[in-house]
Amino acid sequence: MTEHSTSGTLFESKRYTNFPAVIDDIQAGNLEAGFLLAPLAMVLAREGSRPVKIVHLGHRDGTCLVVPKDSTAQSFADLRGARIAIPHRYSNQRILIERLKEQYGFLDDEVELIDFPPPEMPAGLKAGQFDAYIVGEPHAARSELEGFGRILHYTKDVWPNFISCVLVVTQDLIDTNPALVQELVSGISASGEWLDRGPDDQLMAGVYLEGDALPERDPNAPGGAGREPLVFAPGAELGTSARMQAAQIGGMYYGQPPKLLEYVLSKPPDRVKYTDLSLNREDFAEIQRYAEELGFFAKRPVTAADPFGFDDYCDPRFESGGQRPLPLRPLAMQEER
Amino acid sequence: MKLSTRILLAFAVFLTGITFLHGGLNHGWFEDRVRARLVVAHLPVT
Repeated sequence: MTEHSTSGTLFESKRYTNFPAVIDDIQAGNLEAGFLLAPLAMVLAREGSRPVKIVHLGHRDGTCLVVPKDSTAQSFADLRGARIAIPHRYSNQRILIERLKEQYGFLDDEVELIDFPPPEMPAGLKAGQFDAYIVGEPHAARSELEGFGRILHYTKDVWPNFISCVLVVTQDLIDTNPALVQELVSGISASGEWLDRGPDDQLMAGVYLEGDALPERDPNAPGGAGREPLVFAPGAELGTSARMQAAQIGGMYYGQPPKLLEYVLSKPPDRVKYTDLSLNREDFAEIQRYAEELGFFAKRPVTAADPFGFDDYCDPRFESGGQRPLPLRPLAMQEER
Repeated sequence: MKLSTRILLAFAVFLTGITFLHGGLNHGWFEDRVRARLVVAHLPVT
């Protein structure tokens, strides 16, 4: 609940196809909240026309470095001279490549990085447009499942607790409606807890098993009251787990095969993590160090006279606000039908 | 029925009707507006 509502806020998820469009809408005053790449969010906080703050993480890990299945590369060391696709020049994926270059003693020009749209990376790899790509899921897993790609590195193994996307809200919203921001962060935190540690014997509202009696109209249907209820059969491996349910919900909303999302959420189980999403000063200090070295803040360099730090782009106060209860119902109720 | 009673009944019916109409309009027009809304942008990639 917020002070404006006795029924809870309606959060409408809006899908974009590129990050610049999200930024444009924020700058134009048409958008108050969204998920952005962490370094991009920091650049926006530094150079944007509308102040924003990072208030939570989206997830941890969930990015992979992918090579062709028949590649002889066994580690990043074997990618000397390679052409690697990255999702954005202001991405943590780019920063990870820089970390690996440092670790393996690469010279600056020993890899070539190119910006490439994430959904098109698997096809680009298959067509030989580059030698490897690094991207968030599910676009890494797609190459695996389609049989022509192989994971060279999971970020969890080379940069544990890797941060990719973060939740950004405008300072306007924080100032005018902090209760709503709290509700958003509390909901995301609770959802993450459910994904990683949720019980296997409870169903999310709007989700039904095959054979269940379906309501005529379910206001809790994933995607909104006008949508059909989500019906699925328990998976052989994931059963009715929270991750299985999330794969079905995500598949419906993104138009992607639930099997792909099940794979991302289970192979391996720690491929992506949705807990421990608190803002950590040390994490962001490292990201900022690389961002400064790579010239991310070239338009407004960070100097002693014009400093820039964690408190300028993060607002962690909403993380102590607890988690919202989720609309779960016992699976046993289904068996009583 | 006395005229005064009829007038009283007519007024009561009128008031009742107005009350339900007012309540119905509030429910139908303003219900969703009581709930705050927030659009949250995202891309289909982690």
